[in-house]
Amino acid sequence: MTTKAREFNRALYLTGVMLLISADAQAGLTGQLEATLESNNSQFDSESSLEERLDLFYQNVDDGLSANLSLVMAQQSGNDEAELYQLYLQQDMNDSADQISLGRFFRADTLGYYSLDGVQYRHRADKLIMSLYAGVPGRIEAFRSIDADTLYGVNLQTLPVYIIDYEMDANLGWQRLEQDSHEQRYHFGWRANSDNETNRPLPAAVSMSASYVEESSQWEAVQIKTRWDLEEDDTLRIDYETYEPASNELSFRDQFYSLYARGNQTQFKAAYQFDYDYQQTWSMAARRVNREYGGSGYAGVLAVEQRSSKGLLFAVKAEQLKLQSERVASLFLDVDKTLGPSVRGGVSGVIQQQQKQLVGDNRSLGIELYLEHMVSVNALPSDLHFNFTASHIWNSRLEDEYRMLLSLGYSFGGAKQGMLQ
Amino acid sequence: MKQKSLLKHGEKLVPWLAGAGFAVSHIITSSNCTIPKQGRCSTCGGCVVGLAAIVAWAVHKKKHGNGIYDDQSA
Repeated sequence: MTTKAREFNRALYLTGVMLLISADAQAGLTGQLEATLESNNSQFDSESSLEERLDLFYQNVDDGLSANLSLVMAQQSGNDEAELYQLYLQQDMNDSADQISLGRFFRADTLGYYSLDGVQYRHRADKLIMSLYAGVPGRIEAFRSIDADTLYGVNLQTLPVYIIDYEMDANLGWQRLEQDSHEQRYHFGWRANSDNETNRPLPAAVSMSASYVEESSQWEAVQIKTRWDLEEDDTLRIDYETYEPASNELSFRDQFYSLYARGNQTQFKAAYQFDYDYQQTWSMAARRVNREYGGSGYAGVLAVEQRSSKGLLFAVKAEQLKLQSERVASLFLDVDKTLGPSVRGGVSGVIQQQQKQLVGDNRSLGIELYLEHMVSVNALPSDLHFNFTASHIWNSRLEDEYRMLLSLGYSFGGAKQGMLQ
Repeated sequence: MKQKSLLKHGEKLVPWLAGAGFAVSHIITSSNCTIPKQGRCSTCGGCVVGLAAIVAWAVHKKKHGNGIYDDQSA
């Protein structure tokens, strides 16, 4: 990042905060300020980061005009950054039948989660929503970057129609990435679901989606999902999916969850879930996994969740995975408690045994604690919120890992935490 | 009369000054904090000012209304 861009983004931050505090919600401005301090060694090196984030929304319902500014100033690995995540204007026209967005905005599709510097137009007709977009794709921190100079495409989404007890919708898309060469993708998607129990033994819900890359003649992100409501409280799901994780950063749970892999993988999954009573749910799943790295094999999961009327959630999950050269057995424990109208806390624990070619026989014990608190002012919860998360993983043959995160945020004009992420 | 008008202008300026103070303290903290760079605190106090400002603002807004839970206090 150039110094000029950094200074420009800091000036935007200054202007945004001043506007937010002086105008507040009365002028259609809402937003959130958040400061986060994080320390971890999970990327094989210990590092700390400090991040200040501003999200600012403007909305004028009468004129159909809205705008969003989202930027982050951070210090990480000795680097001093001020990154603009989003800055766009959005105008609704013709009773919201047409909408045009201009600037830098987020998009999520089979390419992953990315920002686009450009324009997006959406038209809503009686039975169809059409969207056109074009611009320069960018990278969002910790997510996979898109390597292209320009990206443009069109997407058609049908509004739900009812055919023989099923509510159905479909989408069709075309997308082209340009750099030295070009890459064209076609997206397909179809969903159907029914609440009518007389449809048994037909599935209660089916969805299919896939992307086809013309240049490599390859299918990617294929998903076929079915849900069968066997009895009132019994559900069977049979799914097939191929995917490549978009983010390189794994959460506490993900890094133990042996079905998460870096690289392409395909899995065929059958899962059965039944509610023992309205507070207790049992589930079991079997998977056939094929990985780009690590070969293929099977996984089995057995889990139980217990909820109490006092806001306590208790979950236990046992998982066994056997790939060609790899064997992983894990036991997860989660306790989540709503401690009051403004406090929530939880603890997660995991015991795992890994038998891998490179590592040998590694045993892990991991613990994570978290606390979310809407800070009280004058004995009432205020718009000020506080989060604390700490985790430690003890390994027998690998380096121990830890992560600590502390954040304090303030929501202006009723914008709630998480809403702006 | 003149004093009243000055006071009114001053009241209008307060949120802008508060906003500028917030933002400047955040910019200084995010660019100069030594914890991510050197792993130790140089006790510059920038973060304390930034955090104190945000807490003070929360107390001020709660006292003067406009909070999202105001309906509970009624």
